Amino acid sequence: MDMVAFLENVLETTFKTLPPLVLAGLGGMITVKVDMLNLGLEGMMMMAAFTAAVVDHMTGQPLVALLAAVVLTSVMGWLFGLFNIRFRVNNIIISVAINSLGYSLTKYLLKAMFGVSGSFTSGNIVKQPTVILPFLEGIPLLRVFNGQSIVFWLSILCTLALMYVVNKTPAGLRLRATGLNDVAVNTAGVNSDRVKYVACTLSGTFCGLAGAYLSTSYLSMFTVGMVSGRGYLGNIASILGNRTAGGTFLGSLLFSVTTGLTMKIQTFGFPSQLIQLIPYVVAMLCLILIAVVRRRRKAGIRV
Amino acid sequence: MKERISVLGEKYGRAILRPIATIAVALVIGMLFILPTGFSPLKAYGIIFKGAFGSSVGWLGTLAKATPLLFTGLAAAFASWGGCFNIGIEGQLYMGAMAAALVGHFCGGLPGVILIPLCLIAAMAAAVLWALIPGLLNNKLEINIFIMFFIFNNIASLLTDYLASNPLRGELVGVEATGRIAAQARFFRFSNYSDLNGGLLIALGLVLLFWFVQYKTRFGYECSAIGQNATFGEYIGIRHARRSMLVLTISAMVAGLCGAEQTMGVLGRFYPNFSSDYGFTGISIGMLANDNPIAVAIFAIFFGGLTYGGQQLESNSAISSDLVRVIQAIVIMFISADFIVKKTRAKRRNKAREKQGREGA
Repeated sequence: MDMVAFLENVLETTFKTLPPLVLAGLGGMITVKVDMLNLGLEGMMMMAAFTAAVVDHMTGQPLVALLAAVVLTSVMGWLFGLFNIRFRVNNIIISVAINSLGYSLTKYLLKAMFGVSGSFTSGNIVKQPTVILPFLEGIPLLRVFNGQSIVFWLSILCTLALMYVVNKTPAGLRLRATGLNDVAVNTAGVNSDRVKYVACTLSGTFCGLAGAYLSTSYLSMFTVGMVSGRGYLGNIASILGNRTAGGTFLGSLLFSVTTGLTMKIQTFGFPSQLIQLIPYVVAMLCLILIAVVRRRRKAGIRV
Repeated sequence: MKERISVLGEKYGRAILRPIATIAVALVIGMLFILPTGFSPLKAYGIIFKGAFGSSVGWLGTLAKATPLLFTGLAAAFASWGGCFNIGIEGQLYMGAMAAALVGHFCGGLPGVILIPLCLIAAMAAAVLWALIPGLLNNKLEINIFIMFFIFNNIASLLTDYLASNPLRGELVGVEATGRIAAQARFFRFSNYSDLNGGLLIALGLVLLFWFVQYKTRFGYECSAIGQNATFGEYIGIRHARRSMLVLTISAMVAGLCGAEQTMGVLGRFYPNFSSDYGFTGISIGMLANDNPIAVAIFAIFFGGLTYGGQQLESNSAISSDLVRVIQAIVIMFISADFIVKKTRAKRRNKAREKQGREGA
């Protein structure tokens, strides 16, 4: 019984930390698919978290806040596409700019709008609604699914939708083809730039959900730097997942399970910096492992 | 692809005009963020510039803020000159700062003549290590180097944070930082009113050195050949992979010196997360300067002035100094303003041509 309680506890933290990672991962995945690595997820999530907290504070409507955040970051995603495709700015440079902007602008606006520095709490912030599944209450382990935020279910829905769309629909074919060879796509009569714009905008949309979750569901406050590397982890998860929606989900799950486990260890006085370090080390080792395996396989074919 | 500054001609004009236009655009956008606070934007900019460049104390503060940016700007510019894009500077400077702090603290018995070079070498070595792991992984295993740099930036900041607050924590009560470095390892200061220290001289020396290397030596030419066109570089007999590792190493050494300057000149010990985006600001400076070291110096001083002036603004008004970092981020974004101009110019030409064609027919 104690074991079940422990597992439930770990699962609880895992599921709580999962949605932003999955959503950021999907945002990274969809841009990687069209060969435009977007490392600016982090900055977009900061903007989304800030927007959601502020709108929620002003209206008391969490869903309106979610929508506002999503609209803002979708526009940012579109701008990412605009600067990359139209103005030919290197995507890494735009990413650096977005991340830097996300951090400094939220910090600046926090001071300018509310006169506080660092963090913003308000009793007016209402958390995102949760999905109650009463029939799960009696079942051990599965009962953890009960009472999760709608963003949690949205993230799973988005994963499934993307798995289907990317692999089974004409739109998905265009998406995949644009990443492989955009000239060929253009020749086939599809505007590859438009596909890229859609991918970038969607990447922003996912970041909007992820960021809004952090400030209006995971916590009900905004802290400068509260994204704390989740955007980068999303990028890494999408690379770990071999650029597929399902793989990205599993990669994010890996990170959130490690977080869930280490948070449990943290109660035994494990330094917090080392815990935050673990996902990055895991990611690095996984990337190296994947690369080595790929290299072996390549060499095998050659010999 | 990339245009280099030629001594005369149109390119030179554009190389000067483009960054000035970019900064102007960023300042205008920055105004939009000042307006809602009810403070006059022009007055705010006035305070920033007067604070930064209007007095000798201002200049001292400006140059002190510019010193780390000189290092990171040079590091970014040289890497990009040689065809690498070093976005790991932030992590490298943390490792450099930590190495300098540890050597300066634990080898405190040595005389300054030995200790200072030792600290600098340790800083450079740590930074190079931090750059070469992602570099080699990219080179040998084809792992995306940008993802790797981002991972290593995060690891560096968390790892040094852990080291400074746990096993290597110094004697300060309630402050997470390493022990104080020996007095003889500190750089001399120019005045008691500012952090400006001997590190500035090292930075300015490096500016001249890099200018000489990039424009006057065969090595610099070869690096730029690779930077502009790796295939061409291979044709004239430069091994791309090996040379880009060398370029990255040199860039990381400079990034490490940035950390050393902060530890030995300003802070005296390692404080976790002390860098206020020096690495990424350096990258934008390198791009604004089109990889030219002299221009790096000019923009580093300009950005240093913005930072110092921003602090003056903060203490004289309700506007926080983060405004300056917002402006910097917009600058990074809009260095592409060049392309907008080019696009419209090409469009105008096309339209004119169409018109001519129609009239001809």
